[in-house]
Amino acid sequence: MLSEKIVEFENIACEMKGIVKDFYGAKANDDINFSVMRGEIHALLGENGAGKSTLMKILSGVYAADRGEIFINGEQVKIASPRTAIDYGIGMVHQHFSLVDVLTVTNNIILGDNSRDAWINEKKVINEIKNVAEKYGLNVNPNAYVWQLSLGEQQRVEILKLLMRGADILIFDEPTSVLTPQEVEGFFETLRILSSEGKSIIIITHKLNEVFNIADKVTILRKGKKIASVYPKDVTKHDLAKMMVGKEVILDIHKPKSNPGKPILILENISVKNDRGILALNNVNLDIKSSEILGIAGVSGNGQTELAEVIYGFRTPLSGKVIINGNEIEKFSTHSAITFGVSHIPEDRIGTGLIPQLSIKNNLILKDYRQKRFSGRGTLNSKNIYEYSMNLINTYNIEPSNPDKLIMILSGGNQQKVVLAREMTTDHNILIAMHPTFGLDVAGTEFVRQKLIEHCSDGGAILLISEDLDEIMQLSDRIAIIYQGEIQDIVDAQDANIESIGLMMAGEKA
Amino acid sequence: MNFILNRKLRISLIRKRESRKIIKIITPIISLIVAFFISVGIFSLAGVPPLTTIRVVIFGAFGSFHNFSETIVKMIPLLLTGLSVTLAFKVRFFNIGAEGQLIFGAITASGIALFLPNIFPDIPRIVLLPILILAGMIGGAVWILIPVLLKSYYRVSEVITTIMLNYVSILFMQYLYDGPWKDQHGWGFPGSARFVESALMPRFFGTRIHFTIILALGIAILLYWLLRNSRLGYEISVIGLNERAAQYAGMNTKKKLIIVVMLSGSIAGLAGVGEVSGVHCRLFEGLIAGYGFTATSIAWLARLNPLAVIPVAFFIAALSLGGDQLQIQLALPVSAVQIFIGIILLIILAGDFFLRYSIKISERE
Repeated sequence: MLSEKIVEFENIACEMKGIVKDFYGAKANDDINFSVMRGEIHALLGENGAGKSTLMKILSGVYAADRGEIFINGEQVKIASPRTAIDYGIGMVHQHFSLVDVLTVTNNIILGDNSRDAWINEKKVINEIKNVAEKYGLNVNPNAYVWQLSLGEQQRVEILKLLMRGADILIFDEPTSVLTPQEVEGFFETLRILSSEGKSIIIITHKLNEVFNIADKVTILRKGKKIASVYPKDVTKHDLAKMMVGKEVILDIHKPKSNPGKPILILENISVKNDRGILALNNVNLDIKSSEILGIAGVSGNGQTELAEVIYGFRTPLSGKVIINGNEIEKFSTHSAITFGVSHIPEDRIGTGLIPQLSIKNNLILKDYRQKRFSGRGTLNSKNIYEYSMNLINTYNIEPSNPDKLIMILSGGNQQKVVLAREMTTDHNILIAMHPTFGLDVAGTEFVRQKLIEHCSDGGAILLISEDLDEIMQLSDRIAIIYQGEIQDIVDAQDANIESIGLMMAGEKA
Repeated sequence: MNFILNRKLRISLIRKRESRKIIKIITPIISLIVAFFISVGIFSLAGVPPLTTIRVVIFGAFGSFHNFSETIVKMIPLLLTGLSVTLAFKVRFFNIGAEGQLIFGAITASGIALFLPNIFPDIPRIVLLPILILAGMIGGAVWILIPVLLKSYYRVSEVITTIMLNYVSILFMQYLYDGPWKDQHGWGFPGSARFVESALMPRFFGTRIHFTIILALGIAILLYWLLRNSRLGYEISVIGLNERAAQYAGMNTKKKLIIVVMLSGSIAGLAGVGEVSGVHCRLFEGLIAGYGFTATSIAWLARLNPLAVIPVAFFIAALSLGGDQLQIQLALPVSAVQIFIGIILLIILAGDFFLRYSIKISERE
């Protein structure tokens, strides 16, 4: 098997030469050379903003490069659109899936496939789907509607879509971020089958473990430049991290043992429906003490969002009590949650936590603007607002350090720092941190985690909701596993076992 | 954004980088000149010499003290409705119904002006006028309450409801001045009786420029300050830009939306008060002038800046008076005047568009 693969490697499937892409003066790709062999699984590693997605969007026809050449099977081509890309056998699964929720799996696969006749025989397509699905271990019901599917299943539909259009080069943007550990294994298995058939796989990632688990080769990008292309067997984790960040990084954050005090937040028998009217939380009981981080582990869509929404007053529970510092919340509104001292780092910082068109300072006062020091007698006190913002900008190293700059020009990491600074500074009893490091680069992630730990050591109570199991394991004192709106179990982080947590996340009672 | 022309060509819109300030100022001026020449060109096809057109328009708007003062009179309702639309846009409420609120404000004010003096014959102007103004503003606010409640509780599009309510208010006004409020001594002319002296706005310099101009300018300055420096202004910008974030910050977005939109309606209502009490001295047909739609163009041309609404409203008023003269002096049909104003607005908006976007035509593979 190994020898077969080496033979295949002699054929270059695709080569990109001297790719340059400029976004308003910032070089997202700066003279990048990149090539993939037939049958190779190639990891594209780099921090946020390193240019990985841009490079792949150029290859898959979403963007046009300013300069550079692309060769497919040795022949120079011009890729003007995703459609031309798929004609050349290149397909990409984006981070946010491009499926139509209200259509079935089969219809999604038919949609936009021009190679089919105008008159479509759906039965025939369903059979084709079943065959391909079985061959590659992409189990999914062709008649199900996409909105009924989990994110893992939706990903399989995206892969089927590409395979059925004859893709030979498959690109994945952060594919494992929506999967449970078990699903990740299944996904990797699919990738191995694909590559053994001579298909080329490119995975965009910033998870070092994945590179070692699955990749034949890894290319590291940093700030739009290619740093190196290496074989994982020739390097260590630390080598890769260093190439990625440009400096030594601490990969393991040490969390000092904390001494939890009295309970700050208590949830009693909380049940709640989601927007579709389906029970999203069923009889949930939790408590979080001071100086404690309680992690919620689970695959997204199992009630985590609703859990945060109930505590923050976005959603009124059907039954049950929310008690903060001994006082029961009676009226569920964000305003009352704020008065009760609930801080919240929301999952989508741009959609909920920030107003991109406003300045840093106007985002920093979003929670506290009613206070006398900021708007006494209904008039904004620009001097106090400026000083307060400057202070937070310095404490949290927000770049740029000008409070009048708009949030939309900040990098994702700096945007998250603004949210963090605001939520940790405002007067509060409990902090809900939802996917606090999602989409952040290594340095940003490290900063956020460090701040959360400091906050906990200072006596803060934190509810940490994250899809990143490593993050949960690293930061939490206790871990609650959630599956279909029910708490499966609550375990001490110290004697937690990642395997059994993974099983519980998938609904297997341990 | 992409438009596909045929199998070969594709048109795409590309957002430009922020232009320099000087270009932002020059562009509308150049657009204006271009537009002017195009319309003059069209009129010369109709047999009117180009220079005559220009002379008539400019003279009509600024040619004499009287004409200039009439431009200001025309500007008052445009300024107020422009401000009304601007404020509502700030909370993402598309108030296309400023005309309806203007008319309803005029109706409530007229109701007070016609009947309160019957009950208190000696009521002085200093008491009656403020009641009149308040009544008109409340009228405008009530008229917009229907669309804003429908929007915030049932997600009904305000674009449709505000437009439809324009016609309702127009028909209601016609019913009033043709029926119960009809002037008994008016020889059958449609309109209410003339208001008593104490219900009329003071006028200045022997012209028809009335006291409302001071209120309108004051409101423009107040709104400018409010949006930039007040707590409410901060809330308005957050709600308008990201409603979810506003809820997240604990703001009662529904309540705030209703308050701000009612303020917007009351400003349009004030325009109605000015028209009946300052210009026409009665409720009558002359109020129906399409202010609501013009106000939308004014607000956009002013880029939703309350201070910029002042010159823009003045400019549109001048155009409309100049246009009237084309009709009177050169006997051009009304539609010619509308073409004239339409071309100018269109080209200015186009200039504004190209300031922000460029168009690229590329070959498809």
